[in-house]
Amino acid sequence: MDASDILDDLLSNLRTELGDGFSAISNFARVQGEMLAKQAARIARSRIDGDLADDDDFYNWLLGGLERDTANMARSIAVLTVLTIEKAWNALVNALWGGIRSILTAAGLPAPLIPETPPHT
Amino acid sequence: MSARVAQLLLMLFAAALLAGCAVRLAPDYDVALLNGITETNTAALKLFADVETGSDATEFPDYRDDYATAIAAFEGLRLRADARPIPPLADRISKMPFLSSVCDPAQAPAQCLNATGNALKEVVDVLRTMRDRHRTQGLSPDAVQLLRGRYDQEIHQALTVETALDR
Repeated sequence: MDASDILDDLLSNLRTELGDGFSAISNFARVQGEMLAKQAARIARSRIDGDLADDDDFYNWLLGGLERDTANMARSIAVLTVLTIEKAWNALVNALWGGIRSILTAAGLPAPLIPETPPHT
Repeated sequence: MSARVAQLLLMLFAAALLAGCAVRLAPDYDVALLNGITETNTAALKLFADVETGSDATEFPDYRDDYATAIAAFEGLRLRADARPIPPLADRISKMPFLSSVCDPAQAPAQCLNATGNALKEVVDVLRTMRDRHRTQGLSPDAVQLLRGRYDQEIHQALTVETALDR
């Protein structure tokens, strides 16, 4: 294994992690967005000729709920984004560590002295 | 110094640099939490299915235990989620500008990277509101649909985040 192999591994890992992460976030945001839109439409319909027509308390609770659901959706997207950053970073570090480990063991350093995965912080 | 020795020293230097570089930015995966949410979700969905065509207030006693069981289970899971440790680096990440709109710097910003607790809090709020409405005035199909809309939104968030943490 040489430097170009390490670079190939590194880029391949990065491409996979970022692609998977973006796809997961994008699907989640789309599904959640559709749910919010449907809920808003349900509230509007019900306010015209459903239970909400003469129930201000329930109506206000649902409007407040829409706001909190949207804020929680943003927090969930933040977690998924941070998780993608974590995975991409660790994929880079693992690819680099694997390459270095191969070169060191090929150079005669005893394999048991080098951990298979880099330590976490 | 031969090229081989130089390469070896370079690799040792790179290895030293990398030591400690793998990071943890989001909370740990908790299989018991995910299983608990999945099981309690099934019980809650059964409750929604039982009343989706409407249910009078006089029928509330038939469902009292179902409400209590689901609310207590989700509350226990919320406490478990909130008690989960946040990795130290998450604290720094949560203060970065791109997260400032969702992670309030004034209130434990790192907690916004532990989103499940917030989602379960809303799930419990939905079930409590549904229970109180059922007891006092009964549930119409329209009210059940409106409540189910909020429930689905929040439980989808909790299940997606907890599943994604399995890395």
